[in-house]
Amino acid sequence: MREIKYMDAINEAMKEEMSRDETVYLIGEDVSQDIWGTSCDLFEMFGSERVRDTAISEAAIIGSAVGAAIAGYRPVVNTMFADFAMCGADELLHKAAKWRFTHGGKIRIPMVVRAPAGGYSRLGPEHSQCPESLFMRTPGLKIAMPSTPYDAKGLLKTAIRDNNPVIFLEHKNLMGHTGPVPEEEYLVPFGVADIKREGTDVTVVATGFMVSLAQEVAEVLQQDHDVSLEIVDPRTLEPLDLDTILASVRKTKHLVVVDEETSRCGPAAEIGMLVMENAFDYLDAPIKRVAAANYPIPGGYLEQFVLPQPQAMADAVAAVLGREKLDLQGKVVAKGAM
Amino acid sequence: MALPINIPKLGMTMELANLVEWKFSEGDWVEKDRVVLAIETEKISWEVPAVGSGYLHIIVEIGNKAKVGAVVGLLCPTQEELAEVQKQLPPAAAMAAKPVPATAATARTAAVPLKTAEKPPAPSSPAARRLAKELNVDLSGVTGTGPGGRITEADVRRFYEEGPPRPKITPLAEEVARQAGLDIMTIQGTGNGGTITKEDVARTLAAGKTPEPSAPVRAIPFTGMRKSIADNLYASLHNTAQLTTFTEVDATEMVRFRDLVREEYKNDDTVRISYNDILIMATARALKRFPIMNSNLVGDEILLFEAVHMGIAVALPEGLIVPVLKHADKMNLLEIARGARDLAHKARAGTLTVDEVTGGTFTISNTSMFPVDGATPILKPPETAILGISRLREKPAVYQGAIAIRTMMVLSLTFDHRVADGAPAAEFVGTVARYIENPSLILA
Repeated sequence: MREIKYMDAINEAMKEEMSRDETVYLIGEDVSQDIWGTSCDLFEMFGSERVRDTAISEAAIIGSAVGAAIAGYRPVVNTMFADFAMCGADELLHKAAKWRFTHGGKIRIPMVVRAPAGGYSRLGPEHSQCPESLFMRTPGLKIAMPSTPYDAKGLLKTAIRDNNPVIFLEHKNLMGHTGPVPEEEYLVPFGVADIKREGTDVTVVATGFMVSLAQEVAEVLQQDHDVSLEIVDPRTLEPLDLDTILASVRKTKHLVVVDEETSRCGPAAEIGMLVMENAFDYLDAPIKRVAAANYPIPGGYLEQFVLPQPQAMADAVAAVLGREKLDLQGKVVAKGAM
Repeated sequence: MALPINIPKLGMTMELANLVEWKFSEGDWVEKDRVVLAIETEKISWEVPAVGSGYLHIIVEIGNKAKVGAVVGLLCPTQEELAEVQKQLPPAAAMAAKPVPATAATARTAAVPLKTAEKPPAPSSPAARRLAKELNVDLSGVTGTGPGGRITEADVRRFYEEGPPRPKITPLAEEVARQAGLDIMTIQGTGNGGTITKEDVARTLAAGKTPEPSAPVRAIPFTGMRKSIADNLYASLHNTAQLTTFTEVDATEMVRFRDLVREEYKNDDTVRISYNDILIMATARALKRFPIMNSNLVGDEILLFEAVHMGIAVALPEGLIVPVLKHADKMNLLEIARGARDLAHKARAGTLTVDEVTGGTFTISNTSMFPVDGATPILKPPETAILGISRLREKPAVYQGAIAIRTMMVLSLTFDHRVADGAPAAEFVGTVARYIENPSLILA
């Protein structure tokens, strides 16, 4: 199978859906020449009406998209940084998420908000966040978090065809990652987790960039310490494929949840609690989470002390297994995009 | 002024006594000389009389050990004084393990609790508990391999599929346990990483902790006399090199001799000669000719004795006790008969003193009342030998070149091969045999 980059997979998904359905259009600040490289050639192919550059106002971008979606279009918003979605929070968390409910189901709001997320590039507190918990606790939004080029393309096409608002948290660090993506069309359904690595000792639930980091950690742990990790990637946090997570926990009896969000009230807290409620009797050890410390993400050198690091994952695995220390010896490093 | 109830010193070697029973309750009025407390040592049981009258205050509860001289209770002349000492010295029940503080009565008590603290149950994971419930596995038997010894689901499954894991055990300990018929699963290891050592096996044996595989019908407390018998017998087998030889003896003449003596003294109610008495006499005399058999091994010295202090094993309902007939070698048959009967009476009445059960140089174990022909009696260290007497039985035997019906018996001599070689032991038992075959030789 051919291998393409994550950003090209996103580009292909948009290109295919825009070709397939003329109500699909792209809107955002400088979206015609997206800084992450996902929309090059779209402007040439579809023109300024369907690839719409805007003024610097997330409220206007998202608000207009909500209106257009109600009117029958399928807008794809690009916020450039997930952090910036906050500027359109009222439109996104209130209008987009709730209006189908407030209108008694008479309207539908088929829109996608692409929100490039994540840190490790030392961009500071307002350009490094991975704010999925904000959306997880907003009923009415679907949340996709692709960790591979294959998932990015398949999930984005599903998101565009979905009749509900979807937050698409693509990770900035993954843009240059390559992976197998078939030439022929395919979709990745929402609510179906993917086991990224089979294992027997500890279940690691991870999303986004954390998946590839966990895979590297798993490889070293297998090689150096004979510890077998099973990595479960939910791919969408809403809907969440809890069954696959529970099945894995029933198999390994141990769970570590990894996410890049701030640990307090983050996705790891929610997933850990769900497992506790549904599979407590299958646990051999308390659940461990690895997430960002409860601090704003510093720019520069200090960032590494807030964002989750590979050795912390190994430490959590050691803790649930009751092992002394599983030293990665620096073999895995969380590298940023910049 | 309250009178103390002390643990009496009942013999030279006594250090501790086990408190068996308070004959009165806290606050009861006890008359002088009434038995107020029952105690037991490794060797004997004893009843402690009240040295004066008073209201009883119990300081050390039963089930505890106390040192010789320790004040284990007080007798208060008035109710007021009783209330006062009850306030000063907390009630016995509340001070299980605490030593008694010194008081005006100069109470010095070392109460040694018998019970050790129970081990907290091992933690188990939710998964382990679920599976244990499903498989009906008792978690208390499962060894945890998780963090902090936590029992994991895999531990439960392994236990269910393979039974309890085999504990770590040293080769020596395993051999000792095998010889003692002890299930190593029942031994708590205290060695490196919980390894079972020889000492653990010994302690388990001593404590008699071997649980029955199925629920027992009733439990006999493995304490007191039973326990000290067990300790002593095990120590004997464990610490000496025992060898038993057997000799069949024609006892027809001894039977005739016994009948003769009985006939002679038939009007004397104070004495009734038994085979046992004749055997004591024959053995005591033979020992004079083989001093090595009348010895104790103490430290790095074999002590040979001039006098024969003959231990005579007496069976009691709760076990066996061996009173000692002092200077048996100097006694005539009637003196032996009286002395032995007196000791047997005391043994059954439980009134033997410690000095009457210690100091033996040799022991006779007479099982002639039982239908057995020979035994391997167990030595009573530091003694060197013990003679087992089996039943008398009429049997066809060669007598003066022809087959005749004779009264036969078997002598079983167990001796410590570290102290005596086979030859003197054989000669010794041969001499005893000749004395039995011809009692008039004893006079020689």
